[in-house]
Amino acid sequence: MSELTPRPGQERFVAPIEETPLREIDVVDIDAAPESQWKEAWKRLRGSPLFWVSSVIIVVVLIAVAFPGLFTSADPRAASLDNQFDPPSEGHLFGYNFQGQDIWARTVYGARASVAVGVLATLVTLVLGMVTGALAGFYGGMVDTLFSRVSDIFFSIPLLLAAIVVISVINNLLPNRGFWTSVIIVVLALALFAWPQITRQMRGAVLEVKNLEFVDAATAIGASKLTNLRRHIVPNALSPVIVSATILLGIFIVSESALSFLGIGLPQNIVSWGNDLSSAQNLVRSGQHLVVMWVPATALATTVLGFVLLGEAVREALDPKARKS
Amino acid sequence: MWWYVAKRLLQTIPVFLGATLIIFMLTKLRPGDPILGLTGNKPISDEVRQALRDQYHLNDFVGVQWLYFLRDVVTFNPDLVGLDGQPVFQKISNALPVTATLAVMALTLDAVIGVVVGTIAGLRRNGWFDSSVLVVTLILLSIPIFVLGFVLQFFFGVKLGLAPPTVGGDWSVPDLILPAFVLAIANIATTTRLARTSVANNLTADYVRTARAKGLSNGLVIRNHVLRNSLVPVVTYIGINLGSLMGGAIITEGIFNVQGVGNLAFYAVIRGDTPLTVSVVAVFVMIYVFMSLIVDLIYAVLDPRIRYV
Amino acid sequence: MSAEPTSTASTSAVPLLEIKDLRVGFKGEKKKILTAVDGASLTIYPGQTIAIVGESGSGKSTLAHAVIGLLPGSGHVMGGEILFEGTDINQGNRKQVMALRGSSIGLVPQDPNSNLNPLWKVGRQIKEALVANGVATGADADRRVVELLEEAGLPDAERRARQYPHEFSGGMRQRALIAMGLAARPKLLIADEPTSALDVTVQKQILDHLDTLTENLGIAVMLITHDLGLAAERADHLAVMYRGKIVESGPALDILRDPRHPYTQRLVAKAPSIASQRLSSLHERAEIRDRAVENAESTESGSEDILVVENLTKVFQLRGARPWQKIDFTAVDDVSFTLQRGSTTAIVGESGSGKSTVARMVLDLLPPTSGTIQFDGVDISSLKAKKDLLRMRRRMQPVFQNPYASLDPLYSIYQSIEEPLHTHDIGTRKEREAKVRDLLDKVSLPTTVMSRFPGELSGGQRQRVAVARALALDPEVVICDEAVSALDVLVQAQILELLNDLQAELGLAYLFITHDLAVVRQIGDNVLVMQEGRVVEHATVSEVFDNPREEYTRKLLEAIPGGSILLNEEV
Repeated sequence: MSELTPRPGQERFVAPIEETPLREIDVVDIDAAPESQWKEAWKRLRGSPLFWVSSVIIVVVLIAVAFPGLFTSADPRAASLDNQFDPPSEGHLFGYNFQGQDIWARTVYGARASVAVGVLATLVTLVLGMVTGALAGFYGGMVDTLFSRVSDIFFSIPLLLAAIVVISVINNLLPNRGFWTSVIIVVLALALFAWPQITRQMRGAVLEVKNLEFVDAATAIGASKLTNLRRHIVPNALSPVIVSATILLGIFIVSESALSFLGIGLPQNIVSWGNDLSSAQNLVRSGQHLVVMWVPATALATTVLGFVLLGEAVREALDPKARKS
Repeated sequence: MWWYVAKRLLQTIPVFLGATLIIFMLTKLRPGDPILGLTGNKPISDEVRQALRDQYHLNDFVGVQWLYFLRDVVTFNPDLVGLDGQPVFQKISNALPVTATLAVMALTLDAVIGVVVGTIAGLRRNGWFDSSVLVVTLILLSIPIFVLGFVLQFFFGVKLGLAPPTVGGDWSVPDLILPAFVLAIANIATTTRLARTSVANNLTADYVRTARAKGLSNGLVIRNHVLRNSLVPVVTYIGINLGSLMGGAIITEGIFNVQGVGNLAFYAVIRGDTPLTVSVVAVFVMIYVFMSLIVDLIYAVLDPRIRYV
Repeated sequence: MSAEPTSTASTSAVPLLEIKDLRVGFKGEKKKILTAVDGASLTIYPGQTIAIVGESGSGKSTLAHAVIGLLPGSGHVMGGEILFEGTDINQGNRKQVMALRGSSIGLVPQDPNSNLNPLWKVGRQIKEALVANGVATGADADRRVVELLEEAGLPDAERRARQYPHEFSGGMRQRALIAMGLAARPKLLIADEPTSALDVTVQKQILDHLDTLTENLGIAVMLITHDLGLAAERADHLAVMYRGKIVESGPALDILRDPRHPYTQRLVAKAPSIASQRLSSLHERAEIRDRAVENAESTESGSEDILVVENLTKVFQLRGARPWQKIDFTAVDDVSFTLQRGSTTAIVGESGSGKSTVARMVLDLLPPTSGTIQFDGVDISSLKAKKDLLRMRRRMQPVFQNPYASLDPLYSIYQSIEEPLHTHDIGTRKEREAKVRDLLDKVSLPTTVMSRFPGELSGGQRQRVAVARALALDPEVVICDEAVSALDVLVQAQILELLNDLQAELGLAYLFITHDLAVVRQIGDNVLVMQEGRVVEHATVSEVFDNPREEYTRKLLEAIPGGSILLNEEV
C-alpha cells in the first residue's frame, strides 16, 4: 500500500534526537511563582502608566479631603466685600470671588463634599446593585423577573431628573440641614436611580459564572446554594462591576456638581465645587473674572479624570485581551 | 418577528406604570396644600376648596389619584392643568419640538462622529491615531457637561460670535448646533471607545480570517465582515444613550436657555407643580421606552440570531 | 484509502508546494521572540494528501497559516522559503499572496461555530468567494453556490443557501465551509483540524466526502490533525511535529509501523484509536478490575451494586416559537443500568445523546422527571435530611470535562482540594493539609503546586487537581463526565493510566461518560451506548468491540479514526 519510491522531498526523514529532546509529558514547571488572578491583575496594574497618573490625582484629592489645611491657610467661608475680585496675592493663590472669598481655599475645601458624595453614592449603588443582580441571576424564575422588571422601571427615568425630583421633595420636608444630612440626601437620590446599571451587569456576570463546572463541582461536594453563591459565583463575577464602580464614582461626582449647579444639590452654605460653579455662571456670560470658574472647574475635571483613568487602568488589568487584541 | 415585537410592547407597560407611579408618589410626599398653589396662595372659601378638591380627586386614595392621572396622560387630556392653571400637555407639546430636534441632532453627532472615529481607531489600533483618540476621549469623559457648555458658549458665542450664546423661544436648527454638540460630547467619547473595541475585537474573529482565506480584498473584508458585525453593540449603546441625553438636556437647555422639555421639567420640579412634573416624566419615560423598542428592533434586523430567541 | 496517485496531474514530478527551512516567530513579552515553527521543510505534490500531526502548541496550525499568509497577531516569518509552483510566495508582496488565496490555496478552518459570519446568509458567504476569485457573478454565482453546497453533501441545498449559520448544525456548517474552501477550485486545500469539533460519525462522513471530492478534482490536501490514526488513514505522507520542529516525516504507513523518533514512538504507542492497542488494553483492564474489586470496601448494604439506575427519564420543557408555547424534549428516555463496586460502566454517545444529563441526575444536580437512582440501596431522592444528603455526596464525586472551567480560577490548588474537607468539617487544619499533600502525591503532582492557581497549570494538570479534589472525601464512586476529552492524546493516556491505577488501589467504581469509544477500551468494563436519549446497546466492553449487535454501535466503531488500518494487517 505504501509508495515504494517516495518522491523527491518526501523521503523518510527522522530528525536528530538531540535537536528536540523528549520532554516528560505534561511536566509541572516547578520554578514558577504562584500567581492568583488578583495578584496578576495587580502586577499588570502596576505596569500601567494610566494607573500611576490616576493614583497621583486621587491621592492628592484625598489628602485635600482629609487635611485641607495643608493646601491653604485661608478660610473658605470668610467673606469681605472689600476683597471682591481682588487679584492673587501672597497666600491667596487665585485671588477672590464675587463675595470676596478666597477662590483657592474654597476649591480645596470643596473637594470634601464632592468626594463624599461620589464615594458614598458608589458604595450604596454597588450594594443595592450587587445584591439584586446576584440574586436575580442566581435564582432566576420569579426572583429574576421581579428584580429585572423593577430595575427596568428605575432605569427608564433619567438619573438627573429623578434625582432632582427626589431632592426637591426632601428639600421641602427638611429645609435646614447640616453637611452630612445634605450629603446623604444627595447620595440616596443618586443611588436610588443608579443601581439598575449594576444589577444588570451583575446579573449577566452571575448567569455566566453559575453554569461553569466548578460551581457544579462545589454543589457535588455538598456546598449549599448560598455558600456557592458567596464563595464561588460572586467573586468570579466581580471584575466588570469593579470597572463600573470606578466609572460610576466619576459620574456621581459630576452629578453632584450638576445638581448643585442647578441650585438643588447641596445647600448654598456648604462649600462645594458645584455651588462655586453655580455662582460663577453669570460672570461667565459676561466674560469677566473667568478665574472664578476655571479653578473649581479644573479641580472637578481633574478629579473625575483621575477616576476615569483608574477605571481604564483597572479594565485593562482585569481583561488584558481587550487592549492587546 | 411579530411575536417578538408584541412581547417587547407588552413589556413596556409595567415600566411605564411603575415609573409614573414612583414619580407620582414622590411628588405627593411634598408638604404643602396643592390647592393653595393652584389659587396662587389666595385664601378661598371652604366650598370652593371642596369643589377644587373634588375636581382634582384630592379626596381619593393616592393610588386612585394616580389612576385618574394615568387616564389623563394616556389620553393627553387637554383639561389637565398645572399649578399656574395652564394646560399641561399644551406646554409639553410646545416644548417638545425643540428638545426633540436637539436630541436627534445630538444622537446624530454621537453616531456619526463616534462610529467613524472609533472605527478608524480600531482599524489602526495601537497606532498614533488610536492613542490620541484614547487620550482625547478620556479627557472629554472627565469634563462635566456644564463646564464644557460654559466654555464653548463663552468661546464660540461671546468671544467669536459664531453662534448665538443663548437660544431662547424663537429657535432655528443652526442655533442648536452648539447645544447639541455640548449635549452629545460625553456620549461621543463613549461611543468612540465602544466602536474602537468592537472593531478591534472583530478584526481577530475567526470568520474574518476565513473571509481573507477566501481571497477577499482587504476592503471587502472590512466592509462585509468587520463593520457590520462591529456595529451591532454600538447601535444598542447609542439607543440606550438617549436616557443620559435627556438627563443632560436639563443642564444644556439651562445653559443655552433653550425653552425645551428639560427646562420645563426642571422648573416644574422646583415649583412643586405635581401634574406638570409627573406628565413630563411620563413623556420622558415614553420616549425612552419607545427608543429602546426601536433599538431592539434594529438589533433584530442587524443580527438574525435575535429573531428566534 | 488508496495512496497511489490516480489523476494525471499528480504524477508530475514538479512539487506544488515546497516549504524549506521555514521559521515562524511571535513577539512575546518584553520583545522576546517565541519561535513557533523552527526550520520546517515539507513538499506536497499536486493531487496528494499529506498530513501534519502534532499536539496542541506543536506549531502545526502556525505552519499552515504561514503558507496562506494569515498568521495571527504578531506572527511573522523569520526565515526560509515557501515555494508555490516554484515561486517564493513568502518573499512576494501581499498582493501576490492575496491573489493565491481562495483561487489557488483554499482553507477549511477548524471550528465550524466561529468561522462563518453569523450575520450573513450561508449562500452569500460562499458567493463572495466565487465573485472575489472571478469564478462567477450574479445569478450564475447563485446557481453555482447551490451546486457547491450539494457537492459538499448538504441536502436541500437551495433552501439551505438562504439560511443563516445559526440555523445549521455543526456538521452542516463544516460542509458549508468545505464548499467555501473548494469554491474556486484551488490546487491546494489546507484543512486545519476540519472535524475535531464534530461527533465521530459526522467526522467520518465529512472526511470521506472530502477525500472523494479532492480526489476527483485532483486537489492536493494539507491535513492538520492531532490524531495520528486519522492522519495515517487519510494521507499518503505524514509529517510529525513536536515543539516547532518536524521530527519525523515519510510515507504514512511506514511511520506507523516503524516509528523511529522517540516522540513518534510515544504517539504510536499511546494513540487510543489504533486497533493494535486493543488486546493488550483489554488484558490490563481485567487485571485492574480484579485488584479494584479486592480493594473495594464492602458497602453498607453488602450488595455488589453500588449504583442502580432504573427507568431514568428526563423531560425538558423548551420554549416554542410562540410565547407560552412549550415543547417537551425528552433528553433521557428510560435509562437503566447498574454500577458494581470496583468496576467501570462507560456511557458512550454523541452530542445530544443525553449521556451528560444522566451524569447530572446521578450526581443529584438535576432532578429526574421519573425513574429512580439508588446509591448503595438507598433511593437518593428520598434523602431529605441535610445530613444524609451530605453523606451521599461524600461517597460520590464528579470529575468534569472542561479543565478550564472545572476549577475555580480564584482558588489556589490547595484551596480547591481542601474545599471538600472544609465543607464537611473533616480534621484539623494540619490534618487537612497533610491530606492535600497525600492527594497531590496520589495524582503525581509535586506539592509545590499547592500555592499555585489553575490558570498557571496545563489542562492535564488541572484535570489531575480535579481528580485529587474528587478523591478528597474518599468516595466510592467517581463520575467522570468527558474527563479526558479535551486533552491531547499523550496527556489523555496519562490521565487514563492514573484513573486505572487509582481504581485498582482504592477500589473505586467509575461511571465514565465519553463520546470516544476508543477510550472506553482502556478503562471500561461495561458499556452503555446511548442515542437520542435511549440506551441502544448495553453489554461488556469485549462484547461491544467484538460483536456489536446494533447498527448504531457498529457505525460508532467504524468511525473511530485509524481503526481500519491495522485491523487489516491483523487479519
